[in-house]
Amino acid sequence: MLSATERYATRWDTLTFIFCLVLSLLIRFSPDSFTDALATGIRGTILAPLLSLEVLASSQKNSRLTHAKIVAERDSLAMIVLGADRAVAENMQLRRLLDLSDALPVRHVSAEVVHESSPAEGLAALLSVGSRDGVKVLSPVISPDGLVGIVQSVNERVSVMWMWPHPEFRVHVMTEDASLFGNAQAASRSGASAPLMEINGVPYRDRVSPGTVVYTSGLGGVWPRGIVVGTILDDTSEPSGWERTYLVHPRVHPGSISHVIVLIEPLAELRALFETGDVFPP
Amino acid sequence: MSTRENRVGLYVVLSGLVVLRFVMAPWWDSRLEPDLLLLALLIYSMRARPGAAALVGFCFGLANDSVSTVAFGSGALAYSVVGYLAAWGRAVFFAENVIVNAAFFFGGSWFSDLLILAAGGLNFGAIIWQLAWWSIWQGIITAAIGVVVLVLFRDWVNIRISD
Repeated sequence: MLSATERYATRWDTLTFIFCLVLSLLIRFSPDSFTDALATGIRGTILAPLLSLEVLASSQKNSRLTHAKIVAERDSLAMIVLGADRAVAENMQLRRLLDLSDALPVRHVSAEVVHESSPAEGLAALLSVGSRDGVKVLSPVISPDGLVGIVQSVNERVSVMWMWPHPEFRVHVMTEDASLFGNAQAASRSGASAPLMEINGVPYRDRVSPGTVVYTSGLGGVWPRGIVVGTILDDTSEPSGWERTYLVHPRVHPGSISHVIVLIEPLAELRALFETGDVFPP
Repeated sequence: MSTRENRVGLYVVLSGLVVLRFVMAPWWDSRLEPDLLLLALLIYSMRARPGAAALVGFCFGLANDSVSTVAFGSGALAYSVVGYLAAWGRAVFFAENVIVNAAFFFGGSWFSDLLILAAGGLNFGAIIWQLAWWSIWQGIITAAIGVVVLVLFRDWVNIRISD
């Protein structure tokens, strides 16, 4: 072991430290394309075995926690299935009558959410699916309750999702009757324990009442139209301003999700699925 | 124990902490999860020169950044600074006491959170909330685990702990 006097910083130590510091700052302020490529490279090489372990541990944890629940659900389901044959036949008949194909409007893949320890937890998370499952950058991520986030970068087996509280997350939203359009993002005034969203830049003449449900509008080509985002809480705009800001209570709390659905070809109108609760039947 | 055996013991403990960081991650409440990568860095810094500690901190920080993906580079910056200061501080203060070591781990954890948040460009409210509440609890848990590791593996990491 080195003695104390030997371990005071020498010139080499100081130069190494300055080198690390400068390199860190260069990386910090590099373009996103570079840092994304670097992060993807590290995750795909050095961290790949460790991330596989983490995904495995996450699966085991979820298996243990959900085992009893799944058994109970399976028993309930078995009882329902006994009387479901007639309903299924009726359903198929109605579908044909309405000229709906059996195929669902969206291709999707289920994923586990692996929350990472970080001071900024709740802004991003790892997903247990990657490019081999068909996931791409900007694939929308939803849960049965509504909007969760968007895929930010993809590796072969895992991908990184920005959840809606991320400072750079934006989604174009609208009300059901299309009386309000605007960009929604994480609200700057909300606390970390109860994050909220806000819709900025709404024309002053456009008013909606608290409790109105807000959906994705489909503008921008990333998000499909009709995913539930949340409900209007309050109008927080200044009385003398020219535009309104609405506070939105999101349907999905970022800390509460363990499983999500990644939309692979998000080109369809999905509002009907959320309204009926019949989200993504097999 | 020879110097070579000492080094092997140290690297085994550090590798164990790095693997545990990933294996145990799903089992913790993510806001209270101990920062085992930082703990490994701090234990390494107790034995290393400041320059080497800064370099290892930089590598650990990059690894952490690549899985958190919030403000890439802020973790590398924070861990480099914490590694360098920790190695330099250990040379100055000769802390062999359990409580001083716990304070050392707690301070390192809290200070690295401060640097990551400051470099991350998050809004002021979120930073204050994180530092004043979650970072403190996370630091306490990290410090407690650090002390347990030091007591259990003091011969392996070759660090004296006085009563």
